[in-house]
Amino acid sequence: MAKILIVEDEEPISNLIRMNLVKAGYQCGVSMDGEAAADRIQEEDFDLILLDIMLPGLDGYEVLEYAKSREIPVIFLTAMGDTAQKVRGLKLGAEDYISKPFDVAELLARVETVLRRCLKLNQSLRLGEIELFPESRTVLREGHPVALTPKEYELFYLFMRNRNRALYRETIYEHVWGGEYPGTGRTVDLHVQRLKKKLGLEKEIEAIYKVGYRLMG
Amino acid sequence: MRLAWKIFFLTIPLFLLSLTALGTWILQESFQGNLDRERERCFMENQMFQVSYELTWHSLSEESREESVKAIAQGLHRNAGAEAGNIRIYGEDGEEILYQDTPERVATQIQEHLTGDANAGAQIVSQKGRYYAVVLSRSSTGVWIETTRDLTPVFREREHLKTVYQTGAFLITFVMGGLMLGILYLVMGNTRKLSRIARSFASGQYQARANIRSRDEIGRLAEDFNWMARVMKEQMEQLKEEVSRQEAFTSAFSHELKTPLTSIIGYADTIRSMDLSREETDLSADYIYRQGKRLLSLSHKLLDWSALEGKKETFKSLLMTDLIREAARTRGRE
Repeated sequence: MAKILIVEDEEPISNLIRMNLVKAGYQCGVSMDGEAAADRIQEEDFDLILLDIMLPGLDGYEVLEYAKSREIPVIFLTAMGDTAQKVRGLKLGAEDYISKPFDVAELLARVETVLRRCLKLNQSLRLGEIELFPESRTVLREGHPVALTPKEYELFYLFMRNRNRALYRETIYEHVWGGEYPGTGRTVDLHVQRLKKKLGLEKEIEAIYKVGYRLMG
Repeated sequence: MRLAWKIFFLTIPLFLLSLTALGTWILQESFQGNLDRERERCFMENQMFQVSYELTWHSLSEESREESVKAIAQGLHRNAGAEAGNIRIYGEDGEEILYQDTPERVATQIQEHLTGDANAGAQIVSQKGRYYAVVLSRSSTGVWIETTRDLTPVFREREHLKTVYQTGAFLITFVMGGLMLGILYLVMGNTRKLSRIARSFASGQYQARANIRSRDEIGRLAEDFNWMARVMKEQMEQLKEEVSRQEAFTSAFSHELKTPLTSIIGYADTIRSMDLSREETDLSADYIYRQGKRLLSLSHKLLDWSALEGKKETFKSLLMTDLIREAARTRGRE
């Protein structure tokens, strides 16, 4: 699995990210400031760097540039609403950014996307006999393609990227349909039912009482 | 420009009107005076002639009298000089002309108007475009003596003066008008300038100042405006500083909020979404608790800060020894 370096001076946040990444199956390292980060990048091989752009000591942008020079992809953490930061980071060559406060599920999604894009690894996600190919947006079951609507595909992709993680209806709605969850409506549930049927995942996708669903596996 | 025109159109016609009225009155007075003087002269001439005539008549004998009318008249007339009017003598019937020094006769109605007691009468007559004063009197010798003076020069003079005056009046008014417009234009020019500067100041050119140095009311206004502009610019800058301080504070504060919130939201989400070990759950809950406390402390600080913001800090200088003594006393160690 991929090795990720977390560069963040706030201990609670760095721990939060590490905990979730590890649970998602990644290997993690943590550095509390720019100097330490630069040293670690030099000594070890990382596949991705999660960088807080507002670091004490060595400027976050400098770490970014250094990582870039070592051809390591970077996702940086920025303050919400600070366009200047975002623009500068992206111009310096970061792959993506995420603003604080962030949704952990979203962070995981971005990490997965960047890794897939940059490492050319994990070209597919597997669950038993089912294989999902993000590049072509296709799903194979026992080698045969499964016809899924765009929404059903997105829904399945979301489950596959957040295995063993409870996905709340709001989260599902925001990721698959975009916009704010209307609060009522059976859209999410109907789609989940259909998905379960099409892929035979009645047992694997479990409903969490009143709040959402989880894909086990 | 409107005020300038208003002033112009109020004063210049009035000026012209009063000039004309004055001129007319003066001319009329002068003319009347001349006329009266001429008439008086005519009358006196008539009287003098009558007296001389009668004296001469009475000094002559009966026989010589008839032929002598002409002779007497001629003689008197010759002595009267070039300025004298014309004399005509009628016979007792008032019709027969006994003597006249010119065939030109001016028609009058004096004779009809002379009643029993009145022996003399005068009239000013216009004939063939000329004016005459005529005095007709009845001599004690029975003849009628008529004296005529040509008044036309008086009238001509009046016309002439009238023309001269009109030309002069218009010329003066014209010059005055031009002068007034010039002055108004200059003055208004300054007000327009001031107006322009004011507008450019309002549109954001806080450096704009009126460069009007005249020592009149407009200059004074410009001075006051410049003073006001300076004060406003200072205030504006103060306000801008205030605003940027506020903005800096807000963004710093906002950042201070987001960091603990990231932890709280993140850990809570992790707890609700994932299967965590007992240890992991405890750790997450602990973080949530701590970061919540941190937010609380932040809100207290904000409250304190906003309470302080309103008040001005007053610093008093103290003696160090007094301060220490006070502190010791408070601690009960004295």
